[in-house]
Amino acid sequence: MAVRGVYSKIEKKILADWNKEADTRVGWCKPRNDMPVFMVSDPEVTAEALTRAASENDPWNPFWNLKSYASATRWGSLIGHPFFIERFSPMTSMVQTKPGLFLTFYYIGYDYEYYQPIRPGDTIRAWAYRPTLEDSTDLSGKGLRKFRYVDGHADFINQRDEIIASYKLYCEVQMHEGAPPVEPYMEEYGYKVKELEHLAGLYDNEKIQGDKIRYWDDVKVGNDIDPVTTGPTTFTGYGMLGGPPTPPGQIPRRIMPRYEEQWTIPNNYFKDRNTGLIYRTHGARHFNDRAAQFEGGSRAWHFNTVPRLPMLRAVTNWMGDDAFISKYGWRHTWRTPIGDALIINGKIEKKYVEDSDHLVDIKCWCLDLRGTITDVSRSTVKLLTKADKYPNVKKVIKR
Amino acid sequence: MAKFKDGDKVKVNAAPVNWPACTEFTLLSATGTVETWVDWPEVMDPYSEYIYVKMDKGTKSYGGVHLIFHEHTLKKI
Repeated sequence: MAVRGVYSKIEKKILADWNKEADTRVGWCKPRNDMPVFMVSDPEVTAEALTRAASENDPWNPFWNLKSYASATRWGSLIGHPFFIERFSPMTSMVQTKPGLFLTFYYIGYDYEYYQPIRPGDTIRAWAYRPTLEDSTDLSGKGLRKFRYVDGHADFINQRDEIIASYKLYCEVQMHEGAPPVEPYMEEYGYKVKELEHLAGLYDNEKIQGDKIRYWDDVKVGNDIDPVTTGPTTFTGYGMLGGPPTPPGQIPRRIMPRYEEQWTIPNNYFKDRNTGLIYRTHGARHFNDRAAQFEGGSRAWHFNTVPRLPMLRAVTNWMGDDAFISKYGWRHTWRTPIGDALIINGKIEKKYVEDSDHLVDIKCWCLDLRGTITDVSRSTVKLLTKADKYPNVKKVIKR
Repeated sequence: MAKFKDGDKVKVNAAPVNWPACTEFTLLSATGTVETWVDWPEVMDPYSEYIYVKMDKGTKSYGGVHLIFHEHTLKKI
């Protein structure tokens, strides 16, 4: 049992090491080395870079993927999909534990805010704020050691020194004295034909608003947006392929990672606590049931992109080409087993004017056919009004 | 003000909003205990309508599992 603000010798060492490392993470972000080379963007944005990223984030909407289509919209060119900026985001780094304390964490979610679109020809750089680690151990003194960890916080800046977007990434870190408790095992979800038919129907009927302008004037609070679905998922399906990347440094090396005793989530290996035998794994919690159980999960669960991408897609499908995502917040509240299907629903929550922007807030939630909600999000979308004709376009006479 | 607090015993009173007709909602009348998923008001308050519940041991298929429900689909018991 842990007391907030009072630390054991091991904990003091963990915190001292973390503080030292956190100091090195402030400032201009260097290119990431924890992603494959193809996922790290050149700071000079090209149409090809935008379409390549779009093909991973939303390959179905021509607005993000086709230069000719996007050029014939109010933007006059391709603009970056909202998740394009992730290519410039700072490296994350989990708190490093020490033997004696088993570290687990919840990947809570992100908050993004967008101030202007990214276009071909832009040059993007990112400024990383110092990560923060705040002790949130229950004040009763009867709980686990817990920390609120902001593992990523950055501003994205263009060649005109304008901040174009910002983001924060949240985790909760828990320290266990010994092995963590394991969530009860859930059987694989088995489908009925009518369920598969329903999901297939959702796929068939997914609608993209496209070039039909969604006017703010016509939006009604309380209305639903069209649902989208993903799944039944597989270990190699959409989203899961965005899973644990192979760092560039690992590709050409002829090495076998050495086993070390595990005091956090397994990566290369995990040990069966009953037999003492060791098993090789890659991607662990997302690709291997027993590796997931080693750190307390019920069974292998979805990588964050599995719900996060379609949850944003439900909103971008709805809003149309002339709208702009101003904010996107997402919380990854459940460890959804691989094989489950998610149905994303959304509702218009609020409609308002702020700094002359006509905005709507949309809440979305992912339904799992087991009966639970797995992920939730909130988006703010800027829409055109019927009075906005050719917004931001000026007549310039130079004859 | 939050409708539920940590430790409240609750019963599932309705299916989640927009529950699909293709699937029987098997958790109706299941019971459990409200827990805080993550104690971080600045980050979680905007999502406080979603309630994290540890299902009672007798819940079919999900005894002892944590599930999430819309606030208004739960009833305090």
